[in-house]
Amino acid sequence: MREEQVTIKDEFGMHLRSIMSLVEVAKSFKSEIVVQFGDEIADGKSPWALLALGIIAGSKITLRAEGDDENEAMAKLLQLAENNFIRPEESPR
Amino acid sequence: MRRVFTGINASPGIAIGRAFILSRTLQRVERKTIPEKRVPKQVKAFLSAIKKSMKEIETIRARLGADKAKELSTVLDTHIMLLQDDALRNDVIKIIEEQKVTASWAVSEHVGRFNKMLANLGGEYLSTRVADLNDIKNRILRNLGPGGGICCLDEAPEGSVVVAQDINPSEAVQINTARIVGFVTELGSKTSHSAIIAKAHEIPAVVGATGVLQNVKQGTRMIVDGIDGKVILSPTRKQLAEYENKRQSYKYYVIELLSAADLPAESRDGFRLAIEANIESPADVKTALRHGAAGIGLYRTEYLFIREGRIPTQEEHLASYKQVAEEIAPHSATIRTIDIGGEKLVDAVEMPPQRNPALGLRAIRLCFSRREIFKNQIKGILRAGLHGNLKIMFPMISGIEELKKGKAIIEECKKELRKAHVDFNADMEVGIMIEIPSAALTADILAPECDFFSIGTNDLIQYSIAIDRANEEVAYLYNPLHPAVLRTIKMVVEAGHRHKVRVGVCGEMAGEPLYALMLMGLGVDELSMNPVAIPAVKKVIRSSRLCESLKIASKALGFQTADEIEAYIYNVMSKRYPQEIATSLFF
Repeated sequence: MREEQVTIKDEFGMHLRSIMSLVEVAKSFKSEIVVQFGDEIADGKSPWALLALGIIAGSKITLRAEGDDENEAMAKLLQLAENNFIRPEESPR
Repeated sequence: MRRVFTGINASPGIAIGRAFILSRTLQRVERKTIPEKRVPKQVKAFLSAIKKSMKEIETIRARLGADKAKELSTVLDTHIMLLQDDALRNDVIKIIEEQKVTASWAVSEHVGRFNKMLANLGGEYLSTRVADLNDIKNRILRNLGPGGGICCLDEAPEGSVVVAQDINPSEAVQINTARIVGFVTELGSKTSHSAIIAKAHEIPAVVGATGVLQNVKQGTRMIVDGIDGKVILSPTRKQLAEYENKRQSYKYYVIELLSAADLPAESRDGFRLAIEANIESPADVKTALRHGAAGIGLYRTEYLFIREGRIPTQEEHLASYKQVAEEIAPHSATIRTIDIGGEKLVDAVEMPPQRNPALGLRAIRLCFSRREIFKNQIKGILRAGLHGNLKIMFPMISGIEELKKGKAIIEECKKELRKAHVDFNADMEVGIMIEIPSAALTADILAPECDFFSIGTNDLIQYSIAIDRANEEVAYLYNPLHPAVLRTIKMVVEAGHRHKVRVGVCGEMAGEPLYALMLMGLGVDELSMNPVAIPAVKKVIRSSRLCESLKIASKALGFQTADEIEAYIYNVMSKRYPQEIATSLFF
């Protein structure tokens, strides 16, 4: 199992679009992806569950990946977090 | 069955098409418990509503025009993902089964919980998503209702005449001009959103046509006469021929006007007025240029908030303003900072309920209290200023303190951009809307602190005469020709000119050919209007003389009542410019 902590830098916290990017990446891997915020955890493939975490700007969250492709999944997730959860093709022109 | 209806001619032209009834009347959902044995049926209904909703969104996405495709499809993708999520299915089904309630209630309850939870987090966080969740909720609820029903302008087939109670701004931005040929609403006035949008898209429209909805059926053939304010359902063959004629002749008149649109607005004795366009989105610049606008005098930026359904980021502000700056070059564009609040509410910005919104937290006042929203926009403008000639304009300034405060925030933004090593234009003109009587009365105090004035006549009239123009009981008192309004314009022009400050007019009044010479005679330097109004106003100015306009203005100022002024102006102008006045949008 892989586990990493990241900080949410976006001034609006984890908003809908960033949640969507995360879900899309999570869904592209077989591994189970879990996001933990405080004591609560959410399935990284469920936008409603992630929304329910209520992650505001500056929060530290833990990303967890477990499965055959956990290393690749974590690498992609960290890359996404680095980019403020905006997929590269979506960045402002 | 009644077939002919009269309303207000809100956007000129003739449309012949088939009715597309916009029904978004949602029943208030109430908590209803159901017997145990009906639970499985409710679960099934819910699941099929989700499926239908997803299919609807796919259809909308497939029909999207190329220009809007990127922005909107991201939003639509988001909605599909939210609908696909098993968590939504499980949670709602759990509510239905445990509480033994209807699917409609369970859906509202579920989304309501999220909204409440997000509200408790407070701040900007909430506003970025509540709109999307509500949109999804409403879509599911609609699909749970009897027969579903059409909800979305994007689904209108080719040749549709949209018939609705009223059209709200978030619906208006999805208008596909290729398929919608006309508009009819039961409510509204010449200055309501539906009217403004219809004019901007050059779609014939009649508003305030009471009774149409009761008599029209989906797909009924109908005629919209936006010149005389008439709506005809199921027209006879004779009527069809007559109106086809009228449609053609109006088209030729417009072509003739357009062909001269690029000529400058210069009177026969060489006096020039700057004629600019009011726009709502970067896409409108093309229309503005086609109609001969020499600049953008008012860019209403609220639509960025409405289109996104959330608070735009600084980068999104930048992208829109940059596009406008580049496309309008070498002319300038005046960007009005957001005027949200009052009657202009957007889902993206949560507002506390106000007893008197027109006099409450709105426009610049809202910006001062929600400073981050404001600063993001200012920074976007400052950065876009590198790509063309942009100006900043503050709405709803009531006195010098607010102007100074606004300017201080601009300086603060510059400092922060410098610190972040982001390039911007540090030398940008800053002006204000004059739309509150207190600003007009202190124009001489405000003038030394800014580069230009723009008189927003819509609000100025409302605040000067204390008239809510949306209130049908008193709307008759709303008159641009009230002596107080003319005196105010004159006073502001004089105060501005004493301090070498240019004075423009950017309300609906500016786009009215009937008033063009009077405003010119009052000394106004710039008129900014709905792009489609430009050719006719230019034509009037080009065939006039300055001395004539000065005479009209001074004569108008001598009357005691709006009626006398109106009679005088109408008499003079309709003799001089019969065709322009006949097809004018106001009379």
